[in-house]
Amino acid sequence: MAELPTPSFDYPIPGQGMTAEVGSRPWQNPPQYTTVEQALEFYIPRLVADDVYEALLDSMELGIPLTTMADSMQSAAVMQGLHTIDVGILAMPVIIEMLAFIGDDAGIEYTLGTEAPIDEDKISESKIALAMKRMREKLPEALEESKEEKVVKVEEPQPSGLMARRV
Amino acid sequence: MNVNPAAKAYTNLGIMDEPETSKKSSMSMGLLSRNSKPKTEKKSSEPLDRVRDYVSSIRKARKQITNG
Repeated sequence: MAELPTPSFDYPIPGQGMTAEVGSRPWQNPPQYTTVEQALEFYIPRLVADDVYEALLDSMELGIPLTTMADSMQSAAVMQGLHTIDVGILAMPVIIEMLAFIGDDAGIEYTLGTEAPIDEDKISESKIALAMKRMREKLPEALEESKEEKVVKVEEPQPSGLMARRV
Repeated sequence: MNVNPAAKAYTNLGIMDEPETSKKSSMSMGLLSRNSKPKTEKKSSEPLDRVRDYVSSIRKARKQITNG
């Protein structure tokens, strides 16, 4: 009788290659900055440092939203184990405001990134009204004709009984 | 759909654009009036409140730049 192959458990767990010993990653260790103030003391001097300042202005001119820039900064710092995600989330509004300050100071038009996204598939009522107006201006006769076609003469039913009057 | 947490964190701070003007106390200043000092509002030391203060102070400075 043939034996069924026994399952082998001597394989790596899926995703094991992407893991490491607990505590070996920076974010698994106690953070360097534990308060918002400490985190901001880390960020703000860096934002105004010469090399970073120029790069920030270039990014703003390219149209990268300030929210995206702030999020990238704090995510990188979390990965480096500088602070926790909580502290990063709390520090982000201050970073965004500081970036906006830098942009205003340099006279650069920037995108904040908090604006409501525009749904391109949805056509606004005003655009529809404008298109209708243009169409009316271009085709007044065609519209008149179509209106005439719509008007259907309603004929009264004539009596057809034996006692009905003959017309 | 906006999935950027920074936008949410920034917009949900709840900062009022114009600071509320403090109401003048209508207490009489006569000799027989009560000698009680108006209560000072306790400032919360929650991290979110501190962040709100920082953002509003930077915003104030930013508006001074934009307004000239």
